[in-house]
Amino acid sequence: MSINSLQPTLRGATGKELQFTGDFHAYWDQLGIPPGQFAERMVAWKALPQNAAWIDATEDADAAGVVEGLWRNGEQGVWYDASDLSTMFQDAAGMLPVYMPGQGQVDPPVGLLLDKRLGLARGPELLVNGEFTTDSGWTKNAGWGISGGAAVRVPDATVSTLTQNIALSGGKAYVVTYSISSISAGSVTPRLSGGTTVSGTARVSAGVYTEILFAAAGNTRLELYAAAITNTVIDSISVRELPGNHAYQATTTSRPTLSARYNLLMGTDALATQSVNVVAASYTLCFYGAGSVTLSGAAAGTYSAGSRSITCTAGSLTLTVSGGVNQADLRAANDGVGIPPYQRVVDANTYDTVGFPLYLRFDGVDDNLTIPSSASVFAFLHNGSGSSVHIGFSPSGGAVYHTLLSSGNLGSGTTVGFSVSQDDRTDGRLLNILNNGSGTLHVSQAAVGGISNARRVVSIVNAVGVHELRQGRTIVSPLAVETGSPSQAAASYDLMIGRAPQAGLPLAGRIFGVIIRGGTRGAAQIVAVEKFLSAKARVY
Amino acid sequence: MTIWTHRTIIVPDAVVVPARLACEALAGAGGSGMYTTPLSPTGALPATHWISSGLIEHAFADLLANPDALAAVASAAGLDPAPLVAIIAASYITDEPADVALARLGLQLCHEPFNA
Repeated sequence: MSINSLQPTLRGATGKELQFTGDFHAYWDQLGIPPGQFAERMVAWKALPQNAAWIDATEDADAAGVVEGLWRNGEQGVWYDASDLSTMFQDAAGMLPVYMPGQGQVDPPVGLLLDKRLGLARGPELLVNGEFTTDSGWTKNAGWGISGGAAVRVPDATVSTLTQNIALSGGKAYVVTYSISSISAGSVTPRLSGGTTVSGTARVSAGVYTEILFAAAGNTRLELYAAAITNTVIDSISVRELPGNHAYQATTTSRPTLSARYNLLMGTDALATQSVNVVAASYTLCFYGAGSVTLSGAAAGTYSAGSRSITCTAGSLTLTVSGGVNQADLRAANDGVGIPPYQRVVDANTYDTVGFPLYLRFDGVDDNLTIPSSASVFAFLHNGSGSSVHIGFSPSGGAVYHTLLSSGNLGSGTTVGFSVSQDDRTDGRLLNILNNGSGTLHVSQAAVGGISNARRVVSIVNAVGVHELRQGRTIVSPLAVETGSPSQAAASYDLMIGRAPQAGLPLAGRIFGVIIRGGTRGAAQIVAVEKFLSAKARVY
Repeated sequence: MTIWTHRTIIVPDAVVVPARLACEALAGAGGSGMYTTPLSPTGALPATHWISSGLIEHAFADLLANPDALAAVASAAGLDPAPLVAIIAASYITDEPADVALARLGLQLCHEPFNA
């Protein structure tokens, strides 16, 4: 790297030439700063004083760099990021991207959450002759033909398919894109078949369509399935793997929602009397104006303008407004560090989002996401005998358990497992949970009990950022669980986020991000991942 | 653009199996896997009711609120509408949050605690 190549950027940022005649690369190495970050840091220096905020920002950038490199040696895992809209879709097939919440529409459901650890680059094309340039490569069943650079289907006496054998792996995601130039009758549906058929969406009109299909075990071919009366022309079709361990939820009512809502009140610019549901926890009530707010129900008291802590019992809290009360904000007392103290909320669908971290909201009833497994995916989360692992937490003193991650069959009557209180690093390898509440983390196995076994089972679950709604408590729990070599070679369990497969134990809370890495790593990586997720959730 | 709306749907245990089948038949994959969270007055099993709560397509919500329309769609799909209408009549369907609906009905989630 030559310093001269950076001079234009330096001048733009500082207004000065930089005079340095030594080994520029070595100089920055000596300072511990990657030369590639030099220009960005100069811009930061120009814009920001070198104060604590600037140092935090640069450390956050470094932490992000560590996270991006966690899987560079091919380690298994996931990276879900609720702040990255490009990785989330409303539906399980990836056809409807999520939209920014708070802009007038209901907070969007998240039916597909993409694993971004591999960069979301698609794999190579799996089909041969997907543009139908020749009459080859496809099995043309009744009514199908290839001519004129297209696949043509005419009505027939029965349903039929156009098929091609391709290499598919159960649990993996495949992006199917196809172009229908005309369809005058019937429908056409992309499917992965052989074994359990995986069906896409039946199309009845012309257009270019893209959807993501998760292959089932035994799938061996792509097919276009046509109803008997279908009369259509298909211009092209493509199938490419989308590498990663993506999570989805087919059931609409079980999808978490994407939200940035923190203020529980509505009509907050000029508050009117209203009631909200709260849990037994501390809240912060803040407002301006000459009027007053009288609390009843879950809390009591009459307050004038200002900010104060309110201790609530669980139930309905009524705020009776007298006089002018403006910019009113009621939120969990420890709801993020450094987020704006006032969130303007017009109604449930319209609220400020700038400065408020996005999160996935799990409703504590049935919301969950599933990561389909396969022979090797998440083998590190299973032990040699194929039993399952469950990681969850219970609020302080609470009897209700909330699932963070769960796999296998945690059935009714499970009596094994163990719990580890926060910040338990007893042998330096099990758990590291940051918690500004007092919740307890639980790790349980369904079939094999005992701490030693569980420690042997789990290779690593590196970090999960969670905000527990019902307790009004923010928990960022970077789980640093690692053991010896995983021995499970043929695990076929799904991994569930937010719920256990059979027992339920649904999560009522927020997830800002999930980072899982199968492999050993150093303390510096743990710290970086903790910092990264803490910054996402604004919990320190 | 898909328009979503929130519904909390609580069905009695006696009709949960046909309710699951009906939702899948009417809504496809998006309606599969519903009513898997058990409820009871004490929070202990066995379940007396089952719940699904979350966003559904607005058009489907309209169907749930209109027995005649539901019957017409069911008939068009080759389903006997009478059982569907009976399921709807026996169920509690609201736009309230789940915890509000549960409190109103005196029901709790059945939690199966694992031994910690």
